[in-house]
Amino acid sequence: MKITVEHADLPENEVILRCPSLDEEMLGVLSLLRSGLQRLCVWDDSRQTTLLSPGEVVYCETVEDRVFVYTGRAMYQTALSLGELESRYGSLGFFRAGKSAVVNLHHIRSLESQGAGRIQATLETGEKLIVSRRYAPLLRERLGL
Amino acid sequence: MEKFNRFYLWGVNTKYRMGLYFAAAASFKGLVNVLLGSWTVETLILLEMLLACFGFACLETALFPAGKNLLSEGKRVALWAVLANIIFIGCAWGLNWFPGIPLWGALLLVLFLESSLGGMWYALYLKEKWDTAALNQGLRRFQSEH
Repeated sequence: MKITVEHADLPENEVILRCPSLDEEMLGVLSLLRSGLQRLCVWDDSRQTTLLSPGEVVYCETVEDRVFVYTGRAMYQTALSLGELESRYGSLGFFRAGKSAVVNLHHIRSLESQGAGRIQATLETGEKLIVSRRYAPLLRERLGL
Repeated sequence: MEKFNRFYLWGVNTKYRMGLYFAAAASFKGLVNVLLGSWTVETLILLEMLLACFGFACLETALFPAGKNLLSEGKRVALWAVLANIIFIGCAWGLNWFPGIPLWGALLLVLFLESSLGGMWYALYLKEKWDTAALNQGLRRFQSEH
């Protein structure tokens, strides 16, 4: 397969695939392109990169300016900030729970009102995460309350 | 400036708590006086009540600063209840807030105080319980719809 990269004055990036028919190779390229738009590029301790489906992510947090992504089984790092994670995957259930955490609402087992305006979220992994007073009203709004 | 703002917020918070307790104390004093045949309340006693309520409100604000989860602080709640009893029963007895009240009436007032204190915490408990139920209902709805 011939790969050509052209630099042109365009309003946004554009990918054009030219082929006589959609064979398996082209379908693979297409699926990679499509999944790349949704998938989250992360890497583990051994610097091995993985494309994670946002649905696999339980929560993300910042520790010393690094953003860690937690799935039920592993921990990764990503180059995206929490704000970017929230805006990119917000429609898929990502919610900003505090200054240093984004949680996937689909992986919350239960919520508990904590008084003083805070909410405690128990995740499917058993971990507990506090939704701060600042973000608790937004969570209520998101849940339609 | 930040110190002043913090002090100002503390003052506003304390003022509301003091007002709540003073309203309750003054109402009971008025009710007891009416039952004892008097339609007046002594100004000095009202001032003493105001000061006692201010003192208790200050202690309460110190015990439960903004942001603390009130229901998860067992020792602080116990201390709060003990202080409420010492201040209100102590002042009522020591400063003679209810002169001429029979013993059964005084015991009834103590019972009112205890049930009011218990009622305050039960209301908080109920509020959190219902809020938790609503949150989980909303969460399940969100998870099934999205």
